[in-house]
Amino acid sequence: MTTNPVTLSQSSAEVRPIARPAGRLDTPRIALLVLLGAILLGGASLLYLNLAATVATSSTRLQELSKERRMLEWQRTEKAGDLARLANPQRLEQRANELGYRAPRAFTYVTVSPEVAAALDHRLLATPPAESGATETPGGWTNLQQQFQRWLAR
Amino acid sequence: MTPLDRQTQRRLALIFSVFGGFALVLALRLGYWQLMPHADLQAADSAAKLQPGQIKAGRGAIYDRTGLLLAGDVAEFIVAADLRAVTNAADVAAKLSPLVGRPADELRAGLEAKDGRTYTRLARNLNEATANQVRDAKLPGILVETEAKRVYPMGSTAAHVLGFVAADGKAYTGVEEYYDNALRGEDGTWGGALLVDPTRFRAPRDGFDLVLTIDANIQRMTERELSKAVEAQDAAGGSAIVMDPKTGAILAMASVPTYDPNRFATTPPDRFENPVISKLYEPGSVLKAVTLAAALEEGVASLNTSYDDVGYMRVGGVTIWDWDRVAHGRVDMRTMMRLSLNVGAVHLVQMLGPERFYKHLRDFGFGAPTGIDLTGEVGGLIRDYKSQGWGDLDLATNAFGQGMAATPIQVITAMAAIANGGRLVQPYVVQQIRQGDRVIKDTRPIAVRQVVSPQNIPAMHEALVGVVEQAVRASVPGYTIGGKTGSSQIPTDKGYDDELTIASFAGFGPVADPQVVILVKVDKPVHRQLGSEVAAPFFGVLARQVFDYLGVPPDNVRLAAENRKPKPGGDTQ
Repeated sequence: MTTNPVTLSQSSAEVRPIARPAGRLDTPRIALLVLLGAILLGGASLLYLNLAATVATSSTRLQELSKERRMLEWQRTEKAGDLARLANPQRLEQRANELGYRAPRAFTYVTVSPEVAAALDHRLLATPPAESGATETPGGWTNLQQQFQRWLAR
Repeated sequence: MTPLDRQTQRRLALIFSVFGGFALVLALRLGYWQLMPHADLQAADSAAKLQPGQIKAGRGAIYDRTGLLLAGDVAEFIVAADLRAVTNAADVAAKLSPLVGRPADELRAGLEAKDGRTYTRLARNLNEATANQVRDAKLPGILVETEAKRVYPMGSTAAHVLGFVAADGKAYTGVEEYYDNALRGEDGTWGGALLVDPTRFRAPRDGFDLVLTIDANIQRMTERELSKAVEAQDAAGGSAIVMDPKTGAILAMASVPTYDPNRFATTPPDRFENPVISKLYEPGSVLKAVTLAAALEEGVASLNTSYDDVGYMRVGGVTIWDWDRVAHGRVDMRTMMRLSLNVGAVHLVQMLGPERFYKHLRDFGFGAPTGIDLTGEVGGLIRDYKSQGWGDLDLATNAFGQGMAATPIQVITAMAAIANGGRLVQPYVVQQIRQGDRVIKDTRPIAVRQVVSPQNIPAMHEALVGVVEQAVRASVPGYTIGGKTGSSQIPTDKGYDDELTIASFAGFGPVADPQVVILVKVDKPVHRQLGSEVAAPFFGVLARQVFDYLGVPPDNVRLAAENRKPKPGGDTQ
């Protein structure tokens, strides 16, 4: 009959850890790690919040600028609308009639040779604007002056 | 567990106290913001909520071909209220009333709405100065908002071409509806009031602008002369179109009665329809031009072909009369066209036969929409020989434009084909789609098909010039004009109306180099009924104005200029 040379008390003693590892975490270290983690987490959160705030602020600014641009576009359209109203043929016609203008009864087309056309162009270009005659009817005083000058020249 | 030494305990306690203190302050601050009432914040909050997560894209503008604005968006200022933030409705209403020009009682009723609403609009269509005054008043719960408002600065000018945009942003009729996708653009997104995800931001793309082929000046001339013609005849209404026959570009398109798109809300809805593309009528004798063209194309007749005109003809048991009920004796096709004799047109279709006649009628674009870029176009009605119940009488009446239905745009497109050398062109009203100065799309003329051979064009022009020599009031001194009158009967439930007609004239000029083709149609004129009396004079007046405006030289001037041009391979004269 064989007998077990190892007693129960001896085997128990062998499986139980006898000593802690050198770098074991004691309570102060755990607290310190928790604190470090909290600081890191807080920092990251702050960074994220800061970024989010910056984006939100930029977004708001972008929105404001966009609104401003839209307002300017609307103002531009309003001006273009004013221009269209002023240039409306119906209004111009009415205004011209008020000023005594009438539509011409007929247009007269004159055919000229290219040489004559060139000569006419040359003369027109050479004529100073004051002498070429304004499209507007001269005022009463100007008219009187012109008549006086013509009378003197006679 | 090893107990902490005293120093470590103290340090930890200090750190936790600091953190705890922060937490307490944060908690108290949170409680303060959450629990305490803040009217100003509520107002700001509701203002933020009113702004949608979407950024509205601006709607494109519409210009005429000279660059005048016909439609565009401007700011509309609106005064609204966040009812939760309004603490003293009577006081707010009293202060707001003089600013917005509404009675205080009405404003107060709006502010004290008991139907559970939290938001209401109190006044709109305010100008910027008023809006600023309301803002400066800083009334609790009162908000000033801006929205786009569609305006049509030239009022009723080209209203049927433009259509309109309702307050809800939906476009109705005209180019506004047809080009809605291009004009509308694409909305953008903010990604919420507190945007933390930049990837959710999408910038809006504003709508494209449209440049029409319409010329505001020619449009004005057309509208003015059409109104005069309709008023002079106490007519029910009328339409007129001016088209470039070579391209199909519409220079003017007018109808009476019309409306102001700025006041669409108070306009009877039946006025929104564009009669030029949507209202069918029997074109009458104008269609004889198509009948003659078909006969020339098929070689069954020439201008010298003659027949004995006894003033009437029996077809399918029914007597068809010439309009004047006079026997004209031996007449050729020039005279048939000049005097607009129905019997002669019936002779032509009988020589053609139904198959060839209806083929040409459809080739000219009748019975199908022209494809013009406007909403609401209808295709017209042709009962051809394949239709149930069709008979010889249908063929005979169709020869002179009765018993069928067409739109004015179909009639002018057919006349343009005769004017331009035989090509049927697709009419269009939008010349360019633009984004700022960048041209996105430039419309090119579309030639649908050749409907008259070039060798038959001189004969067609000769016949139509002869018509204007008869209908002398359509003539324009100095210019050779071609055209055809029409005085069509109006179908009713009990056959044709005995008295009322639709008087029309479709013509073009100068015949040698057509610059414009014009259709005039006057509905139910009271004093005179014939196209030569009602529509032809209007055509003459309008054509002269258009020629003057476009600088189209009279025939003698044009010929003189052409004679001076150096001939290819020859010496300059």
